[in-house]
Amino acid sequence: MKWLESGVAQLLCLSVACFAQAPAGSPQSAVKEARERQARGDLEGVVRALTPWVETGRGHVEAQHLLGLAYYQQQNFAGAIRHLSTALKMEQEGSAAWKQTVETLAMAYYFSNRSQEALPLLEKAAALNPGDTYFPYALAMTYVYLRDLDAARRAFARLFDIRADDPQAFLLTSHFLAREKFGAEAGEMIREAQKKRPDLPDLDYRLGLIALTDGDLPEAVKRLEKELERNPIHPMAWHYLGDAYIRLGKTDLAIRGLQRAIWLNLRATESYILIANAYTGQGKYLEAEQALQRALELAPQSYEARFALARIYHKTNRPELATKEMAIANKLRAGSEARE
Amino acid sequence: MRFLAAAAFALIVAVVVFSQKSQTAFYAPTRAAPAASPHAAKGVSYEDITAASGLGRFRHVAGDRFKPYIPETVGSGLALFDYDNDGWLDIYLVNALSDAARKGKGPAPAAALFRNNRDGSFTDVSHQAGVGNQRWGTGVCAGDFNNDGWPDLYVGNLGKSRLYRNNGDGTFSDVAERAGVAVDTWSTGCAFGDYDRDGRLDLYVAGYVEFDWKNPPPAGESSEAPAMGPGKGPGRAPDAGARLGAAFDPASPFCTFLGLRVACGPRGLKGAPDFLFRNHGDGTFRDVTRRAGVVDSHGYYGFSVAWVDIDDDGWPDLVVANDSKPNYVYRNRRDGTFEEIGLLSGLATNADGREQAYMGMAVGDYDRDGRSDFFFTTFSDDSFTLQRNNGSLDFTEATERAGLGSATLPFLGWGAEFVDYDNDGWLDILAVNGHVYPQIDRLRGTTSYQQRTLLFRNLGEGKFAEVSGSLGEGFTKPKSSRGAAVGDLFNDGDVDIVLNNLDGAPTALRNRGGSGAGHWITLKLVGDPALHTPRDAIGAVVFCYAGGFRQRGEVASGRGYMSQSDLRVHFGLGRAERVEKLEIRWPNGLRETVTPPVVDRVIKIEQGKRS
Repeated sequence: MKWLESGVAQLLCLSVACFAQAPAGSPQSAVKEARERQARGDLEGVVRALTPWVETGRGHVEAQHLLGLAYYQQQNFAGAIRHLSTALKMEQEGSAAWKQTVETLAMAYYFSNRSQEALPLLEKAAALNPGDTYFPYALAMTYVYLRDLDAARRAFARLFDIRADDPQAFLLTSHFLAREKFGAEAGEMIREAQKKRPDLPDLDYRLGLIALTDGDLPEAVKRLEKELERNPIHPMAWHYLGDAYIRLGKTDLAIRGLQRAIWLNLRATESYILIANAYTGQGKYLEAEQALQRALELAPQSYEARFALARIYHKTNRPELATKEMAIANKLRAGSEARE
Repeated sequence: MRFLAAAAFALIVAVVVFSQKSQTAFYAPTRAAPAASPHAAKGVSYEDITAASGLGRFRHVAGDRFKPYIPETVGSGLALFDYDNDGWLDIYLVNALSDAARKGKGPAPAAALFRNNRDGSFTDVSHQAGVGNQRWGTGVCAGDFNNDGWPDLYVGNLGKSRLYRNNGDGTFSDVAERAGVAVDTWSTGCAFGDYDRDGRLDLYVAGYVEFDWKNPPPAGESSEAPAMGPGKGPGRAPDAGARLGAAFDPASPFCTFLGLRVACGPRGLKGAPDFLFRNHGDGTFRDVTRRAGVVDSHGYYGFSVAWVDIDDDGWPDLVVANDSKPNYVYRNRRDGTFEEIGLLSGLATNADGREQAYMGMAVGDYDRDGRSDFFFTTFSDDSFTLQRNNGSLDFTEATERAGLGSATLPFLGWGAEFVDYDNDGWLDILAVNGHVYPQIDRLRGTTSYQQRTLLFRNLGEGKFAEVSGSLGEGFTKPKSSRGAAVGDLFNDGDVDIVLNNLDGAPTALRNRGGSGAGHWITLKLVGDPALHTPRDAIGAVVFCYAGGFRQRGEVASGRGYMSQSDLRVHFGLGRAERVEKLEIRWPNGLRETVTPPVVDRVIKIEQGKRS
């Protein structure tokens, strides 16, 4: 029976050799070469030097570690995760290499939106780096993604040096929740903050924005107007009030709000674009065109302004200008798409 | 051994109980039944007749239930058409494939043709008819391409498409290869239309993405199991990133959604081409995509197709709804070529110029200004979109003003139709829904995998109100719906609805009370090929003058979401007991005025015969 096993083993060795020939040199020399290349910033070179060893299964822990780092630096997070998670199992806990693996793997999971896997590693990385802000921020955001709101609030409070029970901590957390489109949870946080301190600035503004995002336009108007009663020099509140009114089809009220937003901030590109939309809704194409020209003076690369201007040229039967302007808009759109 | 079996049983029970509990605790507006609406038409509802009609015997199947790959998520369309010319609508339900069938390890699920028995029941005649398809079917459209008086079917597949010629004896023959229309990529929606007005129906076929089962992108994760570690995905493919780009990287944003690893695409995958086939009139077609200027030059992800005369110049223009990309709007130049004007017209994107994930496309004159407007279903966290036609190839987004913004925000929509459910003479909106990612339920958010069906009643003056809560369980019960088609299945004067649901039985909803709520007239138009009008009159526009109003209706192939609705034209007349006149604009450009002697009837009008 033994002869059969050894025969099979030999056969396997042969077939492996056929498909994956052992690379020249030794793993140690490959690691040495990789380190030199890494120092020169030659990440492709690191990958080239180490991959053959890792693929043949003869690469040691250092090769996995370095390869994972190179992939991470190349923003190939899947590759980073593959090699760093292997390295993590082999490295000695507490060693410098292990620490670096924990930190890098945590961020690779974080950037891959794999929050469950990122969480324990980020907690370790944050604990390993007291005083650092990079890992605690990622950790706080991971709590947000996992909707662990209490943990998120505590984490943001630490980041901003405030007490976790302060109303400001609730407000802060709501900001990040809203940014990630967790509107219901963000609203809850703001209401908690409001209970603790009703005079905290921006509360109604933020509730207005959440309502706007949720498409609850009457609620958005109510909240934004309430904010503006207290604080009429809030250009963004006027802007979003105008936005809500446009969506409600109340263009007169929209123009009034947007005009105030522009008076308060003469460089408010977005408000110029929005007021142009309101004028377009009223068939006031000349006013719309002027507003868009102003927006383009401020932001020549604005896709929205170019698009809206092309549409006005189209509506006012200026096909050549329309086509030309839309071509520019389309180029900007394609550019931003490629960047995504 | 018995102990082990008992333990396993207890575990299964515990899992079931736990999952039911968590399901109950899970609230999302897309699942929760809405309250009855004060805006609903009195006495009108929909009865779910799926089981009683016999349609419940059909099961749609699309691969793995966890939907690791994008073809498994998009579902299939259906067609309501009268294949045997007996005056009663029959139902064709497209099917995809099971995992086993796709791998050649099991029998292929078939598409099904159900013959209308005229007594409320349907009989599956797929086998006799020979329309089982047994490929990964997606879209379908109907049209009498050979002008023999019998409606034919085009079926879009992931794989080779089919053109089923109706033999007129209850059977069909797949003539796609011989006709030159056997698209072999991933074709989705399609529509027949006579773009060159030669009296022969041409065919446009949309393409979605290039997808190769032998070399797929990484799989999404199971909706139950925890996230997979590297290399543990079901059917993980060898890296082929060079060919299909970023979608092969599981860390790519195109393979994740709100932190969940999901089926990759369509972004990041290469788009499949669209095709325009010109009908030669001898049973063959020629690919004129390039010559006509309707090449999918950007490789967009096409889903639904509509031929519609958007500028009312008498020549059909073409609109292609693209997922995650701007829609194509091709203006017919009347010389066999088209000009793409999507962005300029405002119909390609929302009002901000931003593309949406356009799935289904309804076409209808909701504001009774005589022009064709559009309604699109889109992805969740983005409202569906209503586009009002201003004339002169210009559209204005009217979503928010119509009251369709926040009401549709959490829904992920597919089938879309304008339908006058209460015969009041105003077109209402049907949207059928279901999320693409089963994993979405793990988030316990505002959306859900199964979603209820929406119906918005047209209140006039450009406003709509959701009335789904008043229409019965067929609307309030969450489903994974995809294709939808509407038509009067029972010739009783109100419009019924059939849905093709992903991985399950279809839903047949019989309108109860619609014909009592308002008068109606349904028109079957017959064109004269000798006058260069397709025999089934696809492309004809009818203006109905009754009760002091003018309504617009069209004989249309395709549209909706990869589906075919009734080719007859239905008008709700409200209290009007007579139609003053019908103005018909035939596809060949000739106009004809007809005064129907009665209402509350299905009436056949043959071109030039004033019948």
